[in-house]
Amino acid sequence: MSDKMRGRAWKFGDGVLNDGGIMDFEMVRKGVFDPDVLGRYCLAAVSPDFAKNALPGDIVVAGCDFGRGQLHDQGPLSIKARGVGLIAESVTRAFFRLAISSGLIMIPFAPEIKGRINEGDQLDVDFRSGRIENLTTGETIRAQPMAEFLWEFIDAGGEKNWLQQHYSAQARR
Amino acid sequence: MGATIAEKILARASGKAQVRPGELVWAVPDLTVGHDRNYPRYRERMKAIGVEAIAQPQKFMVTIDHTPYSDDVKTIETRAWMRKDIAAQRVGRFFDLGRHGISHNIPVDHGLVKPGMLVITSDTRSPALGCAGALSIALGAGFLTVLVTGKAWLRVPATIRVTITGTPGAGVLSRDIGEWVAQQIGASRADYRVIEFAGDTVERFGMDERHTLCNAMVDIGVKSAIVPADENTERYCNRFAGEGGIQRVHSDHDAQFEAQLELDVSRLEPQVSRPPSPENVCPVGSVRGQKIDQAFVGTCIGGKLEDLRAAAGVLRGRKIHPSVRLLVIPATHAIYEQALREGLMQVFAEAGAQVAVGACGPCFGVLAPLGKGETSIATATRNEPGRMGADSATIFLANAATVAASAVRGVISDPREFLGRG
Repeated sequence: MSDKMRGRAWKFGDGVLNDGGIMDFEMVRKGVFDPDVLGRYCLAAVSPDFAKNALPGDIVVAGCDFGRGQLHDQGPLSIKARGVGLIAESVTRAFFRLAISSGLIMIPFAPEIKGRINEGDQLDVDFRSGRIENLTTGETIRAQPMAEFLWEFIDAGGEKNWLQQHYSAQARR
Repeated sequence: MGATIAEKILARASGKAQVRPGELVWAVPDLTVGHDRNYPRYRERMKAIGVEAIAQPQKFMVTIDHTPYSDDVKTIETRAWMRKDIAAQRVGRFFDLGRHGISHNIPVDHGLVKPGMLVITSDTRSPALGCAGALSIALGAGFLTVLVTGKAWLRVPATIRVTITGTPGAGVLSRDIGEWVAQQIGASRADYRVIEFAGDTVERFGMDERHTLCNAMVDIGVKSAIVPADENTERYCNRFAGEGGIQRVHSDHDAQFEAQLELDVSRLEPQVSRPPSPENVCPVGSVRGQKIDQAFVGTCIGGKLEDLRAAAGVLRGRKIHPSVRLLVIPATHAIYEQALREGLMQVFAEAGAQVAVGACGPCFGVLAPLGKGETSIATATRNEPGRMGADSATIFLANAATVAASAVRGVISDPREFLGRG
């Protein structure tokens, strides 16, 4: 799985909710898991502009406590389905867990990142090393990448795929 | 160096002499919990990745709580399949309709959660089970790993000790204390931490109140919350003799707490949570007079006996306002049975409330959801847009007495005005 992305920064504030923010709660209630549907409505409640115009490779740049609320997969799955990356000043514990399970590419703890990236900046991000190059301002930011242990799940494409690789009847043979 | 309760439980569960915050461990849970919404989903995913058998099924309990009233054909067929699958997989306990209830409350009804246990679930609000001195952690989708491998990967969390002292005045329930304490701690401090409670207020609390307190911490992002086992916990455990030993685990004197907070609740008033988050509390007086369309007493955090008794205390001999619907849902069948014995259900019926049993109900946007532009006051867990139906509905959260008082008046009302009369 690619751990690098190059695209436009879409900025979001602090405390973006998981249900009712990243994803409409109705999708959760209905148990929607179709990536096409989730990707289409990703973050629509917070930024209709993002939902309409974000392209694969673009990067969500969020403030603190991204993904507040319940442990519902649809939020992180929708970001992954949209093909965008995530850099946040911090994500909530619940979102972190779900995002790892979903195999979402992210830099979840990059303090004060919001002040160094503007809406619409072009970014070149190496998620595995934590290097964020702001092509618009020329600044290179070094952030803390995710622990190597967790990349096992990301590289597999999510916890489910990781389990398949290690625990399926086929894998055990 | 000493260890906290959470560190001790995680060390034992991962077969280590000691663990430290930040460390990643593979831990084996003592109890796992599923329900009608997530059991079929995880079984489907197991099938998709070529794994047939649930690991350690004897530790696994499953209940029906999200869809007990569904008449949807797919749900009915899924449930029929689920009953057979649960039997074939030798799942430890299954709480079928008529014995069902919310997954975060059932383990307390049946003494399945004990001090010192590591409990792992999928659904968000299971840290409430810290009421029994257990460490209960919700994983969401990662629960699949537990069903496949019998263990969970966990990062050892730092612990914050919160000491709560004082006796608040009339009309204040554990709900008010829980949400106010959550606000005082704040999400930025609590995220990924375990909150360990202490203090005379908590010592006086029974299981219901401790459950509420731990449950309320979920919204500020805790990994879990825990009330150390004491005489009250022991009394609870003794009601279920033969269900396994009691293991009182306590933090060492030299345990490392990331922070220690002391909060005095003696001046606390009944609180109301304004949308969009439960810890967004203000005294009831600040929103008094706000018109409501619907009132709801129920859910894992607000459908316990403490809540039903408080609501009935206000409603006894009174009628609900003609323009308001009140829905009451005891969180589990066992709670419903006890409410019947105490005459509480009769009070609700005579007041004009709609009643259901053991369902998440509107807190999952079902059963009697809100229409566009409607306003509710509820004892539910959360109040973000769309949580209880329409996105444009407004949800205030409060304790059960406040909800009942508001249902009588048709506007958000102070429950203290109803105390001591009738």
